[in-house]
Amino acid sequence: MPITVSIVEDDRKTRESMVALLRYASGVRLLGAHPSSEAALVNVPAEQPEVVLMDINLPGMSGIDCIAKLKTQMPGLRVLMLTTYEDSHLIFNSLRAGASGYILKNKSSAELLAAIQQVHEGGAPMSMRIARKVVAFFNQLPGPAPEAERLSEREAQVLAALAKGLLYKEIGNQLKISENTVRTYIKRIYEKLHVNSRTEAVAKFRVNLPGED
Amino acid sequence: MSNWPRFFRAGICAVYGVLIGGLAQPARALDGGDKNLSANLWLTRTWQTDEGLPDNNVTGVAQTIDGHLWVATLGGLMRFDGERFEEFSTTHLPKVPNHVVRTMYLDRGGRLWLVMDRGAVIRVGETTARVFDATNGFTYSRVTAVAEDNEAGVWFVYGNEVGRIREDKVERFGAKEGLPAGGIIWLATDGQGQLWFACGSQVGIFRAGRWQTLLTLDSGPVRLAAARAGGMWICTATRVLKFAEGGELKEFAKLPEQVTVQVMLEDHTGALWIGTGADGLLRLEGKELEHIAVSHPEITALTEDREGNLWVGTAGGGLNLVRPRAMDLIGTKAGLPFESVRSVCQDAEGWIWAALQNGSLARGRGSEWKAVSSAEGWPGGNASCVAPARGGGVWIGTRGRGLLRWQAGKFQEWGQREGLGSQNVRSLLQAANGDLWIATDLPSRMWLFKDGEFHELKLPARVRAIRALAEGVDGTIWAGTSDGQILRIQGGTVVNELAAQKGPPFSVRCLLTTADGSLWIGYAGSGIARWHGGQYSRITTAQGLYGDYVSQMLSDGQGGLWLTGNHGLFQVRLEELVDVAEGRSPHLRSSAYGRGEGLPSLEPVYDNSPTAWRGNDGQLWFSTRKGVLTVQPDKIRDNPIPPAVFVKEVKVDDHRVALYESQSPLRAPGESKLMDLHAPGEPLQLPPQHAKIEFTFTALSFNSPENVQFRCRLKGFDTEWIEAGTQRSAKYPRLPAGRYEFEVTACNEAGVWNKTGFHLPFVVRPFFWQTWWFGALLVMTFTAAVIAAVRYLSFRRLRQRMRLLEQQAVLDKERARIAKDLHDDLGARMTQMTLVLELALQQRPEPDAVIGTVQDGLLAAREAIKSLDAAVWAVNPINNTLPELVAYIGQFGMEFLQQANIRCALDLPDHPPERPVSAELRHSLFLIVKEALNNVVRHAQASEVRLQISITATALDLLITDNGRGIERKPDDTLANGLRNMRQRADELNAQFQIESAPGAGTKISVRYFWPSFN
Repeated sequence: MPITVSIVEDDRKTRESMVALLRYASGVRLLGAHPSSEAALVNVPAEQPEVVLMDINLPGMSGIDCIAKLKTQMPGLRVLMLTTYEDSHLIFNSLRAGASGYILKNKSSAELLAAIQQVHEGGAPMSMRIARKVVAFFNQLPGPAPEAERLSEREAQVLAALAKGLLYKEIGNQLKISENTVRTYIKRIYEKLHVNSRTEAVAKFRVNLPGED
Repeated sequence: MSNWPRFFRAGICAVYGVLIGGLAQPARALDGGDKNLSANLWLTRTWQTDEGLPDNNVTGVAQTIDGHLWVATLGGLMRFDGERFEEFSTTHLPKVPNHVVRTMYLDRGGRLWLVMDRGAVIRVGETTARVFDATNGFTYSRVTAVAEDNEAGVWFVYGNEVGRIREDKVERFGAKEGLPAGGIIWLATDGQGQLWFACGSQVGIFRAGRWQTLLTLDSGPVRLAAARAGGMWICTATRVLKFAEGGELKEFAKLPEQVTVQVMLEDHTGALWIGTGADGLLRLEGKELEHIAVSHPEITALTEDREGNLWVGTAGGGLNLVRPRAMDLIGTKAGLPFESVRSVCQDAEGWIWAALQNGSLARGRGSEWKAVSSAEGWPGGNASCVAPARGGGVWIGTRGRGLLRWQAGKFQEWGQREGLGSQNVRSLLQAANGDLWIATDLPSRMWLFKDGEFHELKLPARVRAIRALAEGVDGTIWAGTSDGQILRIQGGTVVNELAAQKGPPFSVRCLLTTADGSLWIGYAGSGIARWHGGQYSRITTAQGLYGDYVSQMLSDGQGGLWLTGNHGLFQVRLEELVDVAEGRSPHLRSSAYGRGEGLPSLEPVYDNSPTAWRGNDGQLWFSTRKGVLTVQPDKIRDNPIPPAVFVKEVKVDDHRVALYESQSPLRAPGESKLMDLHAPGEPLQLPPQHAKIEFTFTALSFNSPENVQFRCRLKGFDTEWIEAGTQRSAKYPRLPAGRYEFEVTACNEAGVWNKTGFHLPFVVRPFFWQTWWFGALLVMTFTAAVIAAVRYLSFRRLRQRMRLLEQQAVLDKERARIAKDLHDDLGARMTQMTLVLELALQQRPEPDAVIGTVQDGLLAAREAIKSLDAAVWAVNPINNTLPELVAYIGQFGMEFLQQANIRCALDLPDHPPERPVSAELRHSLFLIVKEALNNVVRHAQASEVRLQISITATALDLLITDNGRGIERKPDDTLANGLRNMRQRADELNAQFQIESAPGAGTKISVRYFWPSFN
């Protein structure tokens, strides 16, 4: 079964090139390509793709806000962010909003397809810079979080190793687990990052509500 | 019996005259002038030079395995697909003197054998042809018969000798092997592959190298043909016999005197077709011998195609197709007193009655008709319509004489005196309950004749003319008018049923009710409509109806509706109509009948009712201006064979670029250069500079080629299948570069689709790719230059501004703007470039050198983006923090070394303090790391590098250690440059810089930067 994919990308040439690259790629079936978040919010729920390729930098509503909206409608949707640079702030924010990975737009089509595959299976690789941001994020979480939202010991170890710049293989050797298990942990880290970001938002919202207590 | 031959010949001459007189179009009815000819039972279509045959002397007909019909003529070899003859070449082959084919034979392996003029024989293989002539020992100049044995030998009779070609060897067999002397020789192969011979009056089998006589008959010459049940059909000069080895010789018929038999064929029904030398075509079914009219008395070839059509080659009359006739037009020749018919019906006794345009009344059965005369009591007058009377006889509506009834030879008359409002009757319908409904010329009333009395019904509005009457299954009476009203009569009231329908009223020509309770309305120019359960839906040519003028409609009781209109007769399936009417299907299929069935163009009439009638035996009768059209729907053979379909040729801007079977050895040299669509090795490549692409396709069905329908789709261009109808080509405008697949499929006249169809993948090459990749490289180089310039300028400007601007906020804002410019604009463009180059690689440009160049371009573009990334990172104030700096340097080092296959050990502080760092520090420190690592990769031959950053309250320490060969006393220029650069950058930062190295003991670079507050 090919992975069904939709693209959201505002630059026409880039969009068309990606459409052309994906149209004949095996393992992927392209359902649609949309020029804006607004268009994506209308069309993507109808297309029901498994994976959305989302430009991080969109005019109007940003790609990050778009993901957050799409994820509430389609919780199972996997999002792969498309970015021109390794802009760790934007990438990190999109991961918090629910993206499961990112890829530089200038990567080869083989790398793009591999990333789609990985995102479809759970999560794309996490770079050291992002890992360091994730560590910092979990460290600054206030107070004891519910079990489901806290990183487990193993997840924390994997994340720390990533932040130290270790490769998956090296992490596996160090923790005596397989590379696949490392990936599974990373997938869970993505999920918890997302969950925490949501609760954080809710918490902020609560605090801002006047006189609710 | 003695008269037989004479009228026989007379009949031939009569038919022949008709043919010569008017054989213009592919299909031409042989009107049965002579009733002893079975012209009405058999339909013959003829193709001659006017239809594309090169010569009317046909010498051979055969259907090859792929479904094509090959026709050999004295004017060359043709291939036929039911629509068009395509010429194949023989003269380009060596030793073939001209394109005259004397005889053609299709062996059981599917290979064609062509006996050419002056003796050469061509054996046609898939890609090669072998010519046998005198140089191979094949010295025969006049071959008279061809057959084969079951050992792959093909046998030729020439004069009084026999030769065999097996593989590439030619051998002779004659008296030496026991062939009787001095008779005319004939050969045939039976169902088991045994070779039979006739020589003079002897018949036998060639077996074990000997001619073995089995039978001696009373007269010769003898012709043989394989019998399906085994053994041989044998024609002597006088008799038709059948014989199987070990069985009896059985006689089936006597031949007319002086008939010479040329060819014979037993068809799939077991009937034997006999082609004669001067007396046309005979058919033997059981013991009955009948004569079938064809276009010429000398028959040269017979073959039956897979759909059961018989093909007849003649020496001068071209090619004929013979099949049972399913429809016929009864005109004045059959005894109809006047050609144009107003109304037709069948009475309970089976007589067909017709009211004719000149007012006369006629009656007939089958094809024998005559006028009803005053001698039979016909009071005269102007008959306008006829309808069967319950209880026997027929009602006749007239103009001027009111209503008449004929019963048991007597006429009875009703008019205004008896209470009928008008003397002029237009339409009649007797309902199942016996009510007779009468429409006259009065615009606001109808009449019901019941129990001998006329009852008047007022119409809700004035009508122009009630043209159609019909009774529904529930007994509702419907009337349709020329001004578009549909009147429903139920329980003595008349309702204008469709008054609520919006839009202008369409003129009604006919009505039909079907068992599902639907009322079908035939319109003048507006198609048909269905009125069912309060739902009105109209169907027109847009949905596939053959014509929008519908004058008559009949149901054949087998799910088919037969309609006539301005374009003639056509049939649609009721279920398809209902599907379209109820929105389940967008399209229906119409099968048109006309010239293909030997009919002239039909002009159905429509002013009275009934105009068409379904007989008790299922036969359909229609009134037309050319006579009474009869259709026997059950004779329209079911055809379960889906037609083979393929693309014949592809044209780009009217130039042929690919051809089906271009590699056949019988293609002219110019054609064999084209790509073969039959077995394309590589996908077809089309040039980018084109204005249109045209695909011509065909499907092989000979039952009714006019009704073969196509649908096609160009994958990559069309999203849906296109209903091409009967059109056999598809044109596309200029297609952008890319991969496509043209698909086409077809159905036969019975609507049986070819499930697989034909698939033609092809590629449109990119437009001037040579120049565009060159252009891309140019653009890239230019962009790189711009980036360099921008980087340089922006940093200069930045520094200047930093000196000028004191407020950090303003500075940051400016930096952010520059970062954004670089980021959004240049970055996006460079990204586009990488994607375009990636695409170029995917499209596999040629030659290979280009791939390398494009890959280099891609690499350069990616590097440029990385540099840009670094520049943007450095300028963007959002990165003005220590953790960001540490992470960035760490990741850079890791990736950089990983690419160079050097192990990288990172030692970075886990949680560096969130202290701000200036853009200069970030930029310079990053460049130092980059330079240092560059040096390691280029010069050190290290296997491991340790990148360490430690942060204290006073300083930042950067340590880069490798295990390489160290720096020699005299470093080379690049290395020296690199070291100098690093030192310079460190100086600018006011940082301490130190290199420790010994040959063979690695290198250690350390930078210590003191935080400003402590400096």
